[in-house]
Amino acid sequence: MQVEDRENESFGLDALLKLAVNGDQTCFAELWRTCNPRLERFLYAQGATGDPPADDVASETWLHVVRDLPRFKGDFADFRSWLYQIARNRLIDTARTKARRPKATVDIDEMDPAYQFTASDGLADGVVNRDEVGKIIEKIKALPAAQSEVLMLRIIADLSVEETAKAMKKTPNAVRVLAHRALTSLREEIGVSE
Amino acid sequence: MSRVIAWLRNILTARSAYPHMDSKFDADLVNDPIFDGLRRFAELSSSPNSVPVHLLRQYTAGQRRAQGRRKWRLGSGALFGVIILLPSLAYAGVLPNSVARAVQKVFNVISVPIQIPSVTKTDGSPSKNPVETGGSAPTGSVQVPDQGLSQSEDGTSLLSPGQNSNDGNPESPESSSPKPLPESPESSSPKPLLGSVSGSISVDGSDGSDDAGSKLTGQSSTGLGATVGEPGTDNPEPSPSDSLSGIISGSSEGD
Repeated sequence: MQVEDRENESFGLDALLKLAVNGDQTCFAELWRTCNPRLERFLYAQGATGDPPADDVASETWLHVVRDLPRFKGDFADFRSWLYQIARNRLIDTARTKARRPKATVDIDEMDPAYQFTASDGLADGVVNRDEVGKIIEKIKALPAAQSEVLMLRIIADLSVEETAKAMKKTPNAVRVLAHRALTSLREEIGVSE
Repeated sequence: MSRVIAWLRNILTARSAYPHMDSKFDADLVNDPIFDGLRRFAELSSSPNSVPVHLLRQYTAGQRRAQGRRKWRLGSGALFGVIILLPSLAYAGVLPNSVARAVQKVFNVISVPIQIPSVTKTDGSPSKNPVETGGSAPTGSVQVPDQGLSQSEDGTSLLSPGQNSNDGNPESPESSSPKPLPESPESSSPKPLLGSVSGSISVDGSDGSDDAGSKLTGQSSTGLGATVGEPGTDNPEPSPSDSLSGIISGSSEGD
């Protein structure tokens, strides 16, 4: 039943995407509403905090998307892979720019990820345990970059293994191996047995 | 034997040894209780529900650009098709007379053969340049009388005996190679040569008499001609028109 629902949803999203590609502004807005919240959270969890904030990077990502959307070919799964691929590239660019810029003062926001999360602009408002989420994000970030990224894409962005593989330009099996290693490391860290 | 069995067992159990390679593991990862909080965090709907205006503006601009590209592609394709089809339509008589004539005119212009720019002649005589006239290039054969006369009147050797062997083989590179011209001790003025001379040298006068003329025909490597007089004769300074003629010609005159 769940699979059927997902298929129907996917079919609807495919149609939505097709209309958006052909210039329907309402469908594009709907597409944005569907994809943007998870994209922002993914960017936030990946380190787009403060300077520049996640929504800025997301906005840059969407600007890139709208520029090339008329030439896009594929279904909704392909679109998501493409979207997160662009987002990753934007993040890398941002990190490079940030590294080149001299630091004037030590920013306390960059010292404590849990604090960053608590101080974030209303992303979490009582529905989730902020400490819990802050801690798990911190632990995931402590993993090697590829493993951390796989977990973020799989859990926060809700991409399938194939979509994650496309976004990271890896094979699905490589993604599975990375996810397995990441999970094992996290369990060891937290002290949870399988 | 035991090694082989162990190896086979390894292969057969590889799937269970690496459960993460199984697609069943994909769902397990996402539903792991470790990530409960993270999942809830991801599912929150927070950010503003309306698309930013600048994004919509960019979207509209992008669509307009894409339409422009599409139109340009279609237009250029159609133009190309028309260009390809016009001559056929003109020949088929489908086009109106005036259009067909215009097409004919355009294709006449297009189909004019490429002309090699030639040197303008002052005397108005037709150009002897074989490329211009459409004639064949000088064969470069050397015609020598039976006696093997290869000397000019004053006894200077013009041709080495071995050069006769190229008769009947006009394409031989040796026959068209520049021949060294004799330096006459009596000549008072140097003979102007424009470029090296290549081509045929025919020596008339098989009886070896004094009035035997020598005729040098050929073409200089620069495309210009040069008049070469007989050694020992008072050859007037060549006029520009002579120098520019495509043929080297000269007649032997006895002293």
